[in-house]
Amino acid sequence: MLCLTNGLALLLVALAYTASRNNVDWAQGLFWLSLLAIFIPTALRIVSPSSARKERIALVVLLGCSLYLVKVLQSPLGFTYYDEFLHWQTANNILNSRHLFGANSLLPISPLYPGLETVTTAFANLSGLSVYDSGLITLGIARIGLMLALFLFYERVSDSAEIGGIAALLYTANSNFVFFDSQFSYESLSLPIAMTILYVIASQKQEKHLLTHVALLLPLIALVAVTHHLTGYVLVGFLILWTVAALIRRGEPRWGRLALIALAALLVILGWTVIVGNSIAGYLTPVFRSGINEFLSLLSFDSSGRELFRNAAGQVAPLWERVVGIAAIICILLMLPVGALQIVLSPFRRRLAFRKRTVIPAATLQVWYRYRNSAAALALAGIVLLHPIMQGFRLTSSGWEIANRSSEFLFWAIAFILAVGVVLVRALSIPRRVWLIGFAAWAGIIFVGGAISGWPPWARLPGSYLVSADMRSVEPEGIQAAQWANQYLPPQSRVAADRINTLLMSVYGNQRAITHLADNVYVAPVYFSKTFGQHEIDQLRSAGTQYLLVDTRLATSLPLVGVYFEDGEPLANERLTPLDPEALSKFDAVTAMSRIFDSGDIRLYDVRGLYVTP
Amino acid sequence: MSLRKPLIESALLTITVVAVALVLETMGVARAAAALLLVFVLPGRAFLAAWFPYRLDEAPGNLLLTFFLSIAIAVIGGLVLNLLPQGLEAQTWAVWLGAATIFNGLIALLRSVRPFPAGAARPHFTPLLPASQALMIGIAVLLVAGSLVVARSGALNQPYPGFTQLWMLPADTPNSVQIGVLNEEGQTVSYWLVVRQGTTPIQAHYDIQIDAGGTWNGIVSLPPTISNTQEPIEAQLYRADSPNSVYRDVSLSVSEMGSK
Repeated sequence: MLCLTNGLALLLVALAYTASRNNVDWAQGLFWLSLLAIFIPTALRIVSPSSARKERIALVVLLGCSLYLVKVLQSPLGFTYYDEFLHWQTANNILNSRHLFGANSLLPISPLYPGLETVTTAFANLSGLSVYDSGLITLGIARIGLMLALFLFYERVSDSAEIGGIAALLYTANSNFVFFDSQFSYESLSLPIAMTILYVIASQKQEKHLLTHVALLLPLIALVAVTHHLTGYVLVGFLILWTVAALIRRGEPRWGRLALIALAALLVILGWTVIVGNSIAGYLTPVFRSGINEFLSLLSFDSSGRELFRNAAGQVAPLWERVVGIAAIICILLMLPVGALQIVLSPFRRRLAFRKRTVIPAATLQVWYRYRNSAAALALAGIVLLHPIMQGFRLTSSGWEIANRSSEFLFWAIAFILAVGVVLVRALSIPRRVWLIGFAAWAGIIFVGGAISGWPPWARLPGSYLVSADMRSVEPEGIQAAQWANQYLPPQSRVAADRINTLLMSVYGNQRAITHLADNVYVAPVYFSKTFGQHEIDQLRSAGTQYLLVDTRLATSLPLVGVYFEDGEPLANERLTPLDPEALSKFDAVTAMSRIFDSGDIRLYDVRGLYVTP
Repeated sequence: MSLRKPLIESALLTITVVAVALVLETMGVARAAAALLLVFVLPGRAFLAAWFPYRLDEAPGNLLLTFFLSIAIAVIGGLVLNLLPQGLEAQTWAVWLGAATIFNGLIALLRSVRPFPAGAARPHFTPLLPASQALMIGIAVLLVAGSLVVARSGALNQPYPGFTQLWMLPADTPNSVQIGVLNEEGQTVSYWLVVRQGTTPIQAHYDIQIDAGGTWNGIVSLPPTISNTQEPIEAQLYRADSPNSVYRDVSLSVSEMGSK
């Protein structure tokens, strides 16, 4: 029956998207109702004590797949998310060159972690399908795997299918589950594999011998290493924490085995980083450094921090979204201590003096006892301590991304601890109807609040063109301009363009986009300058620019993501007024530049004449 | 001796061979289905059956490991194939994944031939789902397919502002330019095109009518005196229904005439 309700809800999601594309007001409302129609009935069935293990497994897989389809329906013709273009380019490079590790100026680190693109292009090569179709199928399988892995890992740790089901259900409330981790990006594949590794470690009873255990884990660890840097580091960190917890709890798996597995993971993942992905430090360090610096200055009251629920263009989220977003955090923070204390205090189960002085029900003590020997549960309880700190990072401009990106990892722990808390609360003598309504409201708030805090309002539904708004800026005029470049310009000509047209020119246009990440030079100042002189020519020359693309729509609004071109451009995230239209039209007066293409909003200039000495 | 496991392993080996043949020799749904098995299912399943057969007993864990071990074998294979001159293409992929599956499958087959434990109940097949549930799932699949159709239709028919592309590049023949117009206004449009250098007209077209989605291409020969001046060649496009304002405007500097 839930298959049917989810199918109907997905149909409503598709209608909401179509309505949104036609600027209909009720599209947002229908979208949220549809999401709740997917989540709430499934949640109520999973939490029901009468559900069998098989049913719970089927339900969490159904929920995960339904929410994956919510993202698929949003972009049904091609990838449209910013990160998707970065990896799409890597996949195209593999298909065209038939080899890995080809340069990708959009994200130079991407070809060095080609796990997702390798399996996607393998399927594309063998099936004859496009990268888009192959990517959707690959990620669909990854999503099924993620839900199975979540359930099985939590079930092993808690020794309870009920907690396994509830924890897997609550994991879907992390802010990146619906959209970010459904996109064609390396983390969408690495996350399920990492969770599978944790499941295999937790199910060590099936692996009597250490060597066979490691032999089964090694291909999976290698897969994480080749797929995504950050997931690999988080995995190693968690395994070390798990080992330490096992030392404290002296439970299963034994700490020696865990230590060896952690060491193997460390060697494989760091080995790949050192040998192949050695430019990762330059990619990740600036993000963490600026985020931590901003957070520290916030703590010392040197800065006022970022205003929550307000985007870079100054738009404020609707009141109900702000309320639900904050309520979700409160709902999580209220339940976390309930679950965490059960796990941390569970050794007291054996201390008779403690038992005699308490009036804790037997059922509760039984739950406590369950975690007495679980080092994994203790490690997960330890991780949730990071949750309040990460909420603090959300108050900073640079740290917001760290907080948001940590959500899918922190929820490994949060979902489990919340599930433990939920089971304990349900054991109290609460009337069934009150309990069901209360749980539905609580879980619904967490789920909707997560989706709200992870993805900005303009990005949740498709619609008309917006300036520098990633998927909302991908539209036919830009795509056709790039396809024209693919047909008429020499392949891999060096093209300077704004954030969105850089993606389009690279993926659809087969041009070599100039980026700060790859070229260590910013072209944005050339666009921002009101005049065009020798300084601008030198900047274009130093970037090796052959063609320059101007999208006049940039001057119509502030950039929704905070930048017109790249992170680090002048006035990034600090603009109060849009780009000056004269700054964009100044190129027409330069006779040495040929305006070879004009589609109204988009103009393409051949700038090679600038470098010709008379 | 139990024949069930050997039969399953043999069947999977056969399916592997058929899948390899299908991805190399066919197109369409059969090829896609074969590729799906070859990339995401068969290699991992064979690996599990060969080296960790006890893991096959638990269905969800078996499925999970089958998927991700298959992907691991594909990705590790990608690193190996990358070293070959042929690189990553359909043939090399088929050989790698087919060989990995058949190698592990043969080991699994050998290991599966074991005496049937005395007194143990013989396994019997039961349907995975009752008919009513299968029907529900079937309807749900249809609903999801309907959602995709609605979403795709919505995306294809999303209203966007129409636009017209005008472009000009040096032509292959000397002293001439190629000019193109693409009409994406959503309706048939009549255009005027004027090519000039400074105030000197070179060529004009007042009868360009392009259907929605259609293109017009032309080669314009330039007069020999073109290189005597540094003024750029300019092409201006007008809409016939608004002939007083330039609709699109492109230019080519004379120094660009030699480069393409």
